[in-house]
Amino acid sequence: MTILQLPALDPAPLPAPAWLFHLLLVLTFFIHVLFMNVTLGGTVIAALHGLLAKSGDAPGRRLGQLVIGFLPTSISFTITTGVAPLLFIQVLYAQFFYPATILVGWIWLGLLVLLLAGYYCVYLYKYSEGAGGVPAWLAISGLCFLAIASIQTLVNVLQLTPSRWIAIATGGQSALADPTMLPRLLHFILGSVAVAGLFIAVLAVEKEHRRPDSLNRWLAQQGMRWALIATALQVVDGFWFLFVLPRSVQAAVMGGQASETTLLVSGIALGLLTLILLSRIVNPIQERWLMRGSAVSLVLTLFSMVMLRDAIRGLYLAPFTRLQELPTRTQVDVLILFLVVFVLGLVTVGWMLWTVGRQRRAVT
Amino acid sequence: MDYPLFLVPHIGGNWLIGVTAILHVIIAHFAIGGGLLIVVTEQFAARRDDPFRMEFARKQSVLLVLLSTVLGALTGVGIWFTIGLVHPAATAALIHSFVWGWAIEWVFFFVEIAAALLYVGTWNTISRQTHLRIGWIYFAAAYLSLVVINGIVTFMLTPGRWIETRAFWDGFFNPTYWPSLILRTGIALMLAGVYGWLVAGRMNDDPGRLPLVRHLSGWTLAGIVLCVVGFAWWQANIPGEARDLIFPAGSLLHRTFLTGLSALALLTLLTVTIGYLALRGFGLTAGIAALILAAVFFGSYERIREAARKPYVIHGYMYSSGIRVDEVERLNRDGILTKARWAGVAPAGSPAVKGEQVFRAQCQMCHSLNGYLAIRPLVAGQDAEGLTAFLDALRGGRPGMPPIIGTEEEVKALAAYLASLGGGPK
Repeated sequence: MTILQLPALDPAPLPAPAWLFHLLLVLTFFIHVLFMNVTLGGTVIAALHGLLAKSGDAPGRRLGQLVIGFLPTSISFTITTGVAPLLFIQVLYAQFFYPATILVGWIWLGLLVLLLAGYYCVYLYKYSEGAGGVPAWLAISGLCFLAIASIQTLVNVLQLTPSRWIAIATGGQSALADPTMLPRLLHFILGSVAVAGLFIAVLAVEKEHRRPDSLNRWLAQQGMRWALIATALQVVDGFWFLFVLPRSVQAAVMGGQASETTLLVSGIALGLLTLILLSRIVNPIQERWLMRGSAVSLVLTLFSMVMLRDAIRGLYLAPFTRLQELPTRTQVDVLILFLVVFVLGLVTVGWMLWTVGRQRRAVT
Repeated sequence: MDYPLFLVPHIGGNWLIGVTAILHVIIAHFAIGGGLLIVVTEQFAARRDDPFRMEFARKQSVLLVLLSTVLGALTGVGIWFTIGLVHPAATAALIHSFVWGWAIEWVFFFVEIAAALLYVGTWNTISRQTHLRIGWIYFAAAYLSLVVINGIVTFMLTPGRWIETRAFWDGFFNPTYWPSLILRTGIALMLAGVYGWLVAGRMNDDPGRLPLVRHLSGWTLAGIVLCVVGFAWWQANIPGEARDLIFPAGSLLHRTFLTGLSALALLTLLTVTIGYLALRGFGLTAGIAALILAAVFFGSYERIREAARKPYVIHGYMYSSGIRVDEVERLNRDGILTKARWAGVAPAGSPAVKGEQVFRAQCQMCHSLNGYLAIRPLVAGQDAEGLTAFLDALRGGRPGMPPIIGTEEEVKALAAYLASLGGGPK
């Protein structure tokens, strides 16, 4: 099936087999989502606690201080790790990606403005720390990041549904009018809150073991509570999302196609396992292994969901493109150079982190 | 062409890319030169036990991180966003040829950001030696990302043998690769020296301040020398038609060229005068003036490099309208509207005028009706017949403009549409 408005493929062959780009797309997107979750969820949680706290030294504000410790770094790495999937999606899905962004061009560009505003507000919060931190800055950041999540979801849904493009371009349909838009967005937001909540709890537990403080237990419990509630809601939202998917996609993931169904089943199973593990933790400080188990289970859930997301994209776009049929002429030497540089880059970053960690521990 | 058009009112899409790109390259080059300056200064201060210079290095590093990890990274992503919106076909072509180059650059970017954050976060909390090592890693990663991206950026003006071979390295090490790398290295050094002046201008009057200012002047002058050498070599290697857009009096970019040249001359004068002959006259004003002159020079160069590519987006391969050179013959035979899939998509209720579709397909990328490069005043008072003859003459192209493409019937329809605009600005 072709539609009139689908742009022609660029005639140049792919510089490596499509499966390699596909693999890199999924892997780098997964890493991006980890940082993104910590950033988005952390900002939202800290902003809510900060706004609800009555005084500058209330525990709610202290949660903000914990979060601001990692926020500038996590935002930086959200952006850095986001560039790679942005690159690989353009290699594989240019025909879908560019029209989707052009249809909502100004909103797409607005993402950058929101990111800039959100980022600098985080720094404003950081430097207002002396006064206990002004939670309004974090609240603005949180709103900016939520708006960015909405824009990303919008563009994603648009690139999966080329048959809507003309109606949107001619003003006959709103770009937002897709039944998967809201549950998909909520899926990302709830996931972010769960990951960030657990991350905050793990940080608090680690802090307690290094330098005990009565506040750490409270911080850990708050983090756990956010993770638990968000994961429970996620199960509900997940089924909502599943049931508004187009019939063909739904049929494929619900028994129609073995690999897609396996991904869905394992994703749900891991999600439920995470929920059970989280609900069994009574005292996060003492039950360190249960905490670690929940964290591993949550990260695995996330990974399987990223794989499922990719499979669903494949199902949506199956009538329009077949990645394995794209013409290919592998640039072997450049590809090898990339792999070598990639490994060296990882080793370099690893060495820096290891050395700094070791020397800092020696000082404390 | 194949894609929907993204129109930027008043200024046009190319200016949107230009503004984002110029902001990004200034920060990116500063991140390289400034990074080197900071590490060298830290090393010098540690060896001589000089607390003034150490403080200077630390102060600079904080700003560098705030600027490069936030605004630098964001404007970098911004370039991806804007080129994808304005030139989707060209971006898709570049990605298919150079994605591994970009992927390599991304690794350097990743290392650069990690090193920058660690460098700033660990002043005085780790050993000096390790801190310096991280600083050098930061600089190396930042410079290597320039080494890579320079190949792709220069490719667009001088694709060299790639046009025949379509081989990565032929496009990468193209005729302007080395000249441009020298020029950009110079710009990085120049920006470091100039920015250093600005920081020194705000520091307290310390006996160490004026020697530092003189030292920084050396960075600026070294940068200027590299810029002159790089530019002279660069202009010798660009296509003749690009040179014709820059150097002859009255040409499209002549004034920009003169502006850039004057800024560089004034910067040299200022640096020599204040940095060596009248050091005591140094103050914040000199720092600000130097920064403005450096930015004007750099901005002029970037504008020249971008616009000298006209009428192509990839020289000799793809026109700025997104039409490949190898498609022209077929489109003249079969019609441009066979390719322009989105030209016929208009808001519900507006009449489908063929000439307007042809206009959208090949003109609207650069010409608006009344705003930037306005078409209405250009066709004022002309009738369809006269315009047909004029457009036919443009089938051979003119400097800076792609040839008119399409069947005879399409060109007639375009002429009729242009004549119907009524002429004269609204």
